[in-house]
Amino acid sequence: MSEKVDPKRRKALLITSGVMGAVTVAGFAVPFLSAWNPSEKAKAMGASVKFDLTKLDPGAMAIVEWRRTPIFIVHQTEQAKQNLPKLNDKMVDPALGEGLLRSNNDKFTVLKGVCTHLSCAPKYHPEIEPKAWDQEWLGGFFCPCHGSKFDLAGRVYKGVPAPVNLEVPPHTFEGDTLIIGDAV
Amino acid sequence: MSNKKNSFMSWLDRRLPVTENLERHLTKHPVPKKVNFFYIFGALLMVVFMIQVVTGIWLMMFYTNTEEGAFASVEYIMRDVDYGWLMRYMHSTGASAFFLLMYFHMFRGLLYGSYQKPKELVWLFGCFLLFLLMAEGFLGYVLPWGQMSYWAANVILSLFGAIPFIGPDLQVWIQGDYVLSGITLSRFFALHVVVVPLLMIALVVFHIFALHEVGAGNPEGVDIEKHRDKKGMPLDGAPFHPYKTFSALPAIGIFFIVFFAIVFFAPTGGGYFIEKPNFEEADFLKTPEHIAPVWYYAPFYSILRAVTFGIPFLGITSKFLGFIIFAASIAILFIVPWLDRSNVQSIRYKGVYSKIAMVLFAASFVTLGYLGTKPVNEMRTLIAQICTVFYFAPFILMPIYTKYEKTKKVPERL
Amino acid sequence: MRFFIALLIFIALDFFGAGENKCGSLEKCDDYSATVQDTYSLQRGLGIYMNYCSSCHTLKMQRWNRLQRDLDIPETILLEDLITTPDTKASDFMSFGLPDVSPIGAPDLTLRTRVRGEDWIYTYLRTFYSDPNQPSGTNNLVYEGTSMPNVLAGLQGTQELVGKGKLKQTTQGTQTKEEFDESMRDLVNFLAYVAEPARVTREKNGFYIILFFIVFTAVMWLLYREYAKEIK
Repeated sequence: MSEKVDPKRRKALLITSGVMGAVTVAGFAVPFLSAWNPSEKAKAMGASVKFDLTKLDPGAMAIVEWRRTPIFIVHQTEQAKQNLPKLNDKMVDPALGEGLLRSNNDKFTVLKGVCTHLSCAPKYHPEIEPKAWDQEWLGGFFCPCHGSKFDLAGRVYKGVPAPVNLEVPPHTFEGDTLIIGDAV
Repeated sequence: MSNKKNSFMSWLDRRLPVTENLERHLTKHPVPKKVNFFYIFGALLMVVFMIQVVTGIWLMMFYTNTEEGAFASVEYIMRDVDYGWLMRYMHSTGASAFFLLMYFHMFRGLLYGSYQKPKELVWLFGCFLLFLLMAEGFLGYVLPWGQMSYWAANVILSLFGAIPFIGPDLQVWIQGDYVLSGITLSRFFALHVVVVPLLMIALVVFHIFALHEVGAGNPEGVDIEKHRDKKGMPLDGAPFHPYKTFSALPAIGIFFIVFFAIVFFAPTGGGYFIEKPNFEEADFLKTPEHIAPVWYYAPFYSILRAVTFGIPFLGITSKFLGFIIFAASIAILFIVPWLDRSNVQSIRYKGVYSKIAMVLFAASFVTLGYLGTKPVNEMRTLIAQICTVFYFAPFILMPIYTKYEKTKKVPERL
Repeated sequence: MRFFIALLIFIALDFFGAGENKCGSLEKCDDYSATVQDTYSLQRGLGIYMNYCSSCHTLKMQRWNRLQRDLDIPETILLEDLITTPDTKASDFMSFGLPDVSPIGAPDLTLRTRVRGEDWIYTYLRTFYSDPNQPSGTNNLVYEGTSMPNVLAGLQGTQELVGKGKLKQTTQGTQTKEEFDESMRDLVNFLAYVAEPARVTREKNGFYIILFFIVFTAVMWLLYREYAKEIK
């Protein structure tokens, strides 16, 4: 009536079914974990934003929203471009490897308008004149929350609360159009 | 190596009764050796419950529970969310599976006398679970806010409105508004997602504890506890783990074959699992041609519609009487343990009247179900009325025929 | 006993289902079950939709980029030929610049095949006929009194009513009857796809999932039998 138990067969069957069960659980997990990826709606809302550069005069700055972040687009003047290298020593990180304007372009700088201290929005002060926060101001950004200073290329001054330069978002220039975000 | 494991277990057992319960409920819990396929449905129900909870939680992450956003959010799930469509279909197919399994599970109970003493509580908890499941399905179907969601909800809510004196106020109170609206939707969402599932989990726990206290039955209706071996294990019993746990696994496999065949190839169930009008957003100015409930409510809906008369001199409208009889069709299940006066547990050894009764009940239930999905006409109403009588008769007459019919002798051993 | 049950069920059957319209105002729809696996058919259907339907009916739950991906549409064709409204990105919905609520009552068609059924739509598209009693001059066998004009007359030609539920061709269109029926099948396939884009994937992959569970059952069955031997 009762056959002899073959322990090897039993062990083999237990292992096989165990593996089968594990694979099934993993298989079930895949759709649920994938569902957490950004949906098409999120991808659409987070898609790249286009900006027409012909509308921006030299010395002016435009603010554009991308992924709920203000993006500063600055059309640098010739004077600004000459002044930037003079400030290298005053910078925590002069970012010499990133190009003069820290973008792939010789006229425009593209920055995230988020202070790297505690995320306030820095104010644009392109005027070259003495300021309350700097007698030798050569133009740049000043953050009113805690007094952080950045130059026109978004580089952070030494001795302010903000630790690093203003972040440069991914961007590409296509003729007269700036695309912020990953290219389509 | 094994010393480490033993000392870990003893550390754990001193703080939490792990080994004790594993043995009591699994590895040393005796269940009858020989049962048939009717005994698998409890395990499958637990699997489906888990599927519903997990898919439900995920759907909740993307669903909008407001009137303005609900319908669009379901399409968002179907189109924009990775695998959202799979989660939606698993949830809707799971609902239908839940009911189908539930009906078979309960039928097993009726056939093999699983409700008999001392398992009355197991049965009562189970009936309560049926009631909760019916509420849960209704609440859930309203959430997509399609045409059928809205109009079928209207029908059910108006039943409450038919209760004399308090009806209309009660209906407004349930709705939270003078008409069914987004306010009702939001509260149905809370009930569907939290309240009813928590109650169901609690009841399932009680249901299983009550069962384990007494021990599972078998198709022969034999009491396996009567004959034990030297170690105290019933001769006709075997420990639940590994014999029953491993026997559940292939059944779960077969279940998933059928389940996923539906999900991948016929997710709307031919219009019976997700009804066609529900692919159109709820419009309170336009009634669908034919308001039908989902298939699993059809038998009870049929009974409701079959009551075409009231009791005028008592001030009871046909609508209210219909509601009463519809409620009675579920309520009567609760008292079956006390209606059955047989000294025999299983249909196999009961008399011919019990067998006729079971067949009549099953045939009526299925016929009523079929009729419930169709529009009414005179002939169909008549048949529904006949079937309603044949639905109740097996229960109402049960105290009589089970007491007096001639039964067969139940064997001692399986 | 069994006879009695059979009788019960037999009686309940649709012998007494008189008076139910299966296809709108028509007795029975022409059978058609859409297929979404034929990409070329979907592409042709898209073309017909763009030419004959998109001036009145939105598909506002379907994104352009999803359409592009599922129907293998090259980027240039999408941006130059298909998206004709200004400032519309590929991730936007196919609303064709039409207002959200149609002033002429033309419903959004994204889910229409799921609401009406594929055979209903297929039959509807082919049963327009001239009817001088209607303000639009046309009527339809399936949807009696429809306010939709016969936009497909160019392809199909015109028909007239010659008996209950019977139509006769009166003028020719650019397509023969067979060609027109096939075009309508393409259009219905396309609409069925739009109603449920996931259908393409689920029909393709279902087979593998079921195969997996067949293997699962087989493995578990062997395990079960190994232990079932002991309690014979």
